[in-house]
Amino acid sequence: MAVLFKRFPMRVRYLTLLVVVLLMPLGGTIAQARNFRMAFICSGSITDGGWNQEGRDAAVKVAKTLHAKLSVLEHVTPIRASSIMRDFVRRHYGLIIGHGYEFLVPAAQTARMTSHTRFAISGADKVEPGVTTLNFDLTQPSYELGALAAMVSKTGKVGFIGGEAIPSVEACYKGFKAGARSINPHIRVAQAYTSWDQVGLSKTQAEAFIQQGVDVIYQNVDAASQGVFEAVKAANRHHGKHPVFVFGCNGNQNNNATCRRYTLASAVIRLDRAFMHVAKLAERGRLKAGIINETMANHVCVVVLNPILIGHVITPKMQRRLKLIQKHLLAAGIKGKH
Amino acid sequence: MTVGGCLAAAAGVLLLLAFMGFSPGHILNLWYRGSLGSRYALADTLTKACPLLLTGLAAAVTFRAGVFNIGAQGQLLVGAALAVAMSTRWLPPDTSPLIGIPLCLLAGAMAGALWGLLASLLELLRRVPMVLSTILLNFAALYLVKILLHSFLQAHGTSAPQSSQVPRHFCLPILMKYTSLHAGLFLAAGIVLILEWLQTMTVFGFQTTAIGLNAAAAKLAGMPAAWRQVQVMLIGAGCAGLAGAMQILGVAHFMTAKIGNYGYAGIAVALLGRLDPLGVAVAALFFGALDAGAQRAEESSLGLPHETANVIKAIIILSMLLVGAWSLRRTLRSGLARTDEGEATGA
Repeated sequence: MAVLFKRFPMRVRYLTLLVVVLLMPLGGTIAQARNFRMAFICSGSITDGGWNQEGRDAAVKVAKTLHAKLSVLEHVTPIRASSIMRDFVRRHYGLIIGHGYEFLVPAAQTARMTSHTRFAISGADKVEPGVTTLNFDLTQPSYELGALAAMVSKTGKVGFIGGEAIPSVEACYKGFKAGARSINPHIRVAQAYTSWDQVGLSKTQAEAFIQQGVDVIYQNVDAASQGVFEAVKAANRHHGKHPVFVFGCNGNQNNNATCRRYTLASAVIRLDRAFMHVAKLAERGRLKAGIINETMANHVCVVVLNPILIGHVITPKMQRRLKLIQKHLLAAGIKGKH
Repeated sequence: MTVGGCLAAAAGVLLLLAFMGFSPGHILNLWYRGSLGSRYALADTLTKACPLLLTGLAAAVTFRAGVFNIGAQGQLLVGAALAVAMSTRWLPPDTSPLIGIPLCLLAGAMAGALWGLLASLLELLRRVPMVLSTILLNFAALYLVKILLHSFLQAHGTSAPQSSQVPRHFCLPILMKYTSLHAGLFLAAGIVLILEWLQTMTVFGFQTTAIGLNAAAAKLAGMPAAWRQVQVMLIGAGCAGLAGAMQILGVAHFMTAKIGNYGYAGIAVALLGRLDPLGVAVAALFFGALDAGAQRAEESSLGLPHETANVIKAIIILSMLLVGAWSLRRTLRSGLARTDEGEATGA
């Protein structure tokens, strides 16, 4: 058979292969609806130790609680997202969670063609028809971290490193800066945007900040946070007397293996709470399109202090002040005086 | 793509999966179901193959003429950006789709071609190596697009770096509900046939092949080598630009800088297709099927990691290329042996 096939010119062989491949799948059927199915898609790696990993873990937790079938897809580009979402719609998924603002437009495009699938997009700040937007407002926790940074800083210089200048990350910077200025109006707040996954880039940026005298760094760079942690660890090994501290973001990074003794606190999004809420509503068919603001007030966006630093680095006086700030934030928002 | 290549790839994949503790049979079944198991899976395969086909052609056409165009990624990006600019900013919203869609596609192809022309001019005028300039122009294109997405192309009402949505009447028609299979596929198939004809039936095709095999000899034979290479670059880069425009008008309907690495994958597609347009079509389909199948295997409850799926894809492609190269070498050797035999008999 192979010998017979080889007798034909290359082009005929290619065409035959093409036709055979195209005829193979005739007769496929549409999947039938069964139990509640949910999908989670994100643009980064689900082992990034930050935003994507927290999201995936939260989705797994929710699926287990609701006994739902869960499909997880990582490294999804916005360009691919709409075709992936359409495929989930075709297979009668009840809820699609797009973990990042970049999935908002694809979700809105896909939502037009279905009434049975609900779409929840986390980390966006805009309303699109047919989509539930989960706006995680880390401004207030970042404000609290800014205040703590200003209390701890000896040099009067603090820094912020973000993965990309997108709305949710810029909100962190704004909150951090406002918080730091609320304690020390003359404090210098440096700002830089590097990458979500290039560890080397974030490390170099953190080193540059430290050389400029920055002694507290707030990072929101997901997988690249390892670079910041390494730079902080190295700085503390060399300088000793004036320690350099760092903050975690999105997930609780206080317990990171590299420099947990210098990680003051983390601004944490309790994604499991937020996802559980929308998943339960979607399961009952009651999830409405619109924006859900997840804030400090509903305990989704919170500050978690590093317990091993409480007492000596984060003194009881600082803690009292932070509690006061938190009260004011909850009562009057970020513009209230502390 | 020989039977040997398939067997080698399958053996490699099965070993890797078993080594990692997955059930090879189940994963391969998922892979098949995701790529060719139903008409929806096939539509997904074709959708994923479409940009790969065009970027594969971009590499194949140029490589064949000895022009090492590694810049399909950059050409794709500028093509996509210009298609977005045309559809969301420059064309009046009441423009007929019959005029608007071809104009946007043409703008994408032209942008890609002009971006490729930059590399050709750099080589012709300043002797900058094509490989270097095209690689660097990829970065230039990426950052240019990022700047545009933060300024001129940015959607209103958000600070996110993404473009406005392409008006619905400028989007390519979808061929199957619940999929992203779009009418651009026919255009891509048409381009394959045209390039096949151009390559095998015309003087232009003969000359570019000759130039690719030995540019100095072709020049001595009176062929306009430099001019042909520029023409080939324009065609190849135009294909890549068109791929970008098609991804925007057919699949995404908006743009971010994360458009996918179709430009780089196109090089592997071209090599697997042995630089022949029909071969590239089959290779693109194969790559599309690999991508579609990987997606199904990744999202299953088995949780095949994305990285493992990529390693499997790489093993398959490498096996194909290795066995292909080996069989080509064997064919050449047997051909040489026959020639020697003939000469000996003649003597």
